[in-house]
Amino acid sequence: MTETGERAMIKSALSMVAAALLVWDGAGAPAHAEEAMIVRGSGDNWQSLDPHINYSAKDSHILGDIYEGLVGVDAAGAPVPAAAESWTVDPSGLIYTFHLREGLAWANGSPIVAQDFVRGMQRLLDPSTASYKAYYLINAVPVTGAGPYNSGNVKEFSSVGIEAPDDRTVELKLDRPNPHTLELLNFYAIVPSPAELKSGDEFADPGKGFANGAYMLKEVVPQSHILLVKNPNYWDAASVKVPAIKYLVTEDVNTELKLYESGQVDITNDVPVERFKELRERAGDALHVAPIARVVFLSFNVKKGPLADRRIREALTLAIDRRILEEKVMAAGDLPIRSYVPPVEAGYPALAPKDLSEDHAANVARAKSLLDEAGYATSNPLKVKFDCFSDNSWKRRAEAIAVMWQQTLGVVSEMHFQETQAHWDAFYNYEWEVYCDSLSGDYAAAEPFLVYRTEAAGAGYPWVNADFEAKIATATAKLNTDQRNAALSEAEQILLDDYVLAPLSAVTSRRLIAERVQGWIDNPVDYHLSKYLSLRSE
Amino acid sequence: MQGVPTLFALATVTFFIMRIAPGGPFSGNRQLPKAILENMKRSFHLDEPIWQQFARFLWNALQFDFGPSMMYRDYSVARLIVDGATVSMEIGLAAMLVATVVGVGLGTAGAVRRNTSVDYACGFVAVIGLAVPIFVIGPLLQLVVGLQWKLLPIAGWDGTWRYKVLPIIVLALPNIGYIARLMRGSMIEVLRADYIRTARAKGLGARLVLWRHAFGSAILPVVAYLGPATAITVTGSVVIEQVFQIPGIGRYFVTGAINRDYTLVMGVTLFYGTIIIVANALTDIVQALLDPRIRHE
Repeated sequence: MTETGERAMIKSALSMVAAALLVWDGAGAPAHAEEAMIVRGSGDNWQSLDPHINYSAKDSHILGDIYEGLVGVDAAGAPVPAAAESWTVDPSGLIYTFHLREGLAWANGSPIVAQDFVRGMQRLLDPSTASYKAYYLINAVPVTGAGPYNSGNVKEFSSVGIEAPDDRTVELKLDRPNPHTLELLNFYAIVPSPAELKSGDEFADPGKGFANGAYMLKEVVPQSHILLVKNPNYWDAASVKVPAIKYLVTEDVNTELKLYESGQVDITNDVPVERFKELRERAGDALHVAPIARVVFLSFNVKKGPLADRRIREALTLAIDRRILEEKVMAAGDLPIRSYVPPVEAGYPALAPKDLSEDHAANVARAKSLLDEAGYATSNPLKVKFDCFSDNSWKRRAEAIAVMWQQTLGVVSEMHFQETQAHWDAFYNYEWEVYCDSLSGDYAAAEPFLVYRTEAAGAGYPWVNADFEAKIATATAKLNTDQRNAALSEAEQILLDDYVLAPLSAVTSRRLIAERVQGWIDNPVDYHLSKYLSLRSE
Repeated sequence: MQGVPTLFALATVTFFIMRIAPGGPFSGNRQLPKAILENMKRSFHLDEPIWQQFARFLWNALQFDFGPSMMYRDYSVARLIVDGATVSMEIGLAAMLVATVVGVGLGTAGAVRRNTSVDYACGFVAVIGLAVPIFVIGPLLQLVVGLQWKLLPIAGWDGTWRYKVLPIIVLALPNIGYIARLMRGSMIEVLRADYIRTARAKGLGARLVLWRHAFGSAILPVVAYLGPATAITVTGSVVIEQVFQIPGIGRYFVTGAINRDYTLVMGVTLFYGTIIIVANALTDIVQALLDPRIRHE
C-alpha cells in the first residue's frame, strides 16, 4: 500500500467522523428562561393532576397552586380563609357552615357555586373514583354518612352530611368533633369539581381551564415539567406576584443540585444526602432544613419470639445511640428523637420512655442488665429477625443499629432487606421481630400519629392496649385542643413505656432556595404555595 | 409473524412473575381503611381472579389497550409509551448513528494504520467509551460542559438540540467503543483475505480496494451488533433519562417494576419485545443484502 493511498483512506475515515459531528449544524438558538418565573424542582414525576386521585405528599405544592378549597393555608402552613371568606362552627363542634366569596370562577370563566364544592366532596367519596384520600372525610374529618357511601353500602349521597343550602353556603355535619377540622379541610383534595367534568384526566388538560387556585396549567409534559401561569380569575389574583411557575421533574437529586447551582432551578425538592454536610457549611441561609410531620422508628413484634419480653424490647431501644445515628451515620439533617410523636405541634410535650435517659452510657448499662436478666449472654446471644427497606438510606440506618446492638449487647441481627412495596407487604406476615417503619401525619399535630396506633385504625400492629385505647377515646371526645393533647400525651407515654417501638428520628425537609426567592416560610405541614412567593428585583 | 408466539410467551411470563413478586401496587398504603383499598383495587380489576385478569389483559392488549398506569393515573400506558418512545427513539437513533459513523471511522482508521499512533489513539477512545460507565461520564460532562463552561444546558428537555447533545454523546460513547473494536478486528482480517490481495494485484487503488471490496465484508459484524444494540438504545436508558431529565421511556422499565405498576410493566415489556423482534429481523435482512453467503435460496 502506498503512503498516499493510506493517507487517503484515513482521510475518508476521518471525514465520516467529521460528518457525524456536523449532524448538529444549523440547529436552533439557545432557549432563554422566562425572567419572572420561579422554577421549582418536583422530584419524581407528579402522580396525577386530578386532585381527588393524587395522594403523593410532594405534589401538594403543584396541586395547591392549581386548586383551592374552602379553607386555604398561609405561608406558615396555618389554615386561612380561601374560597370561603368565613365560617361558623356550632357549639357542639359538629356543624361547620362555610360562606363562599362572591364571584368565584374557574380559570375558564365558569362560575363556582357551593354545589361545585359538594360535587367535589361527593367525587372524592364516590367508590368509583377510588380515591385514596377519601379517608380525609371519613376518618380524619368524620363526616356523617361518608363511610357507608364510600364503601358502596349506601348509594344515595343525600345521606352524607355535606350540602349546599344556597349558592354561597356549604354545610358539613360531623359524627364527632375534631378541633383539627380546618387543618384537614385545607388539603388540596377537598376542592370543587366542575359540573362539566367528564373524566379525571381532564384536570391535566390545560385547554379545559379547570383551575380555581392562584395558578393554572399552561403546559404539561409528563416526565419533564409543568408550566403554570397566573389564573386571572382567581379571587386574590391581585396579590399573586410571580407570573409563572415551572415545576421541573428532578428525579436525580445530583442533577437537581447542579441545576440549582447554575441558576436553572430556584427551589430544590431535596439535596443529595452525601453532600449535606458540605452544603450546610457552604450554602448558608439558602439551605432550609425544617422538621415535617414524619417519624422514623423501629416496630417490635410483641406477639411472638424473644421480643414478646418487654425487657428485651427496652434493652434494644436503650442500646441505640440516636445522636451518633442521626448526626454521624445518617448526617442528613433529620433530628434524633426519643418520642414517637415528632416535634411539630407547639402545644404538645416532647416525651420519652421512662428509662430512656439522655445519658447514653447509662442507657447501655441498663440495657445490658436487662438482657442479662432475660437470660441472654455472650455465650447465648440474642438473635433477632430484622426486616428493612433495601434503599441506601434505610440500609445504612439499619446496619448501624445492628452494629450498635452487636457491640453493646452482643445481639446477632438476621438482616432481611426488601424493596419498598415488598417490605410493606411483609409487615402482615409478622415473621419479623424488628421492622423498619415510618409514618407521616395528615397534619402537623400529635393526634394523627397516636390515633393510628388504635385498634380501630386497622394498621395491623400486633399491640393492643386497653389503657391506651381509653386515653385516645378520652382525647378524641374533647373539643378543647389542650385537653385533647393532655390525654393524647398520656396515651403516648403508655405506648413508649411498653417499648412497642424504638423511636429514631424526626424527618426534616431539605431544600435549597435561591436568594432571589422571597416569602418562603419553613413550616411543619411542608405546604408551600407559590402565591406567597415573590422575586427580589435584581 | 414468527414473533407472535414469542410475544405471547413474554407477556404470559411477565404477567405472572409480576403477580407472584411480593408486594403490590397499593402495598404502601397501610393506613387506608379497607373499603378505600378495595375501591382502588376494584378500579384496576385487581379484585378479580387472576385468570380473569390475564384474559382481560390479553384481550385488551390485542387492541393495544393496556389501561391507565397505576402510578401516573392521568395517562394511559399506551400514551406514556408513545410519548416516551418518541423521545427515546430520537435520542437513541441519533446516538446509534453517531456511534456507527464514529465507531466505524475509528475502527477503520485503526485497522489501516495498525500499531501506529493513530491506532493507539483510536484504541484509547474506544476503551474509554467501553470502560467508563455512563453514570460517571454523564454527571462529569454535566459538570464540565454545563456548569463550568456553560456551553450546554445541564439537564432538561424542550425539544431543541441543545438539550440533546450531551445525552446523545453519553449514549453513543460505549457503542463507539464497541463498534470501533469490532470494526478494527474485522477490517484487519478482511484486509488479509485472498480476494483483497487479488484486487490489489489487479492494480486497483488503495481507496477503491478499501471501500468497494473490503468495507462491505468488514462491516458485517458491526451490522449484526447494531440490531440488538439499536433496540436497547432506542428503548431508552434509565440512567441517561434520570441524569439528564429526559422524558423518555427507559425509566418506566425500572420505576414500573419497583412501584408494581402492573399495567405499565406489561405495556413496556411488550413494546420492548416488539422492538427487539423487529430489530433482529431488520438485521437479518441487511446482513443478507451485504453478504451473499448469508442469503437463503
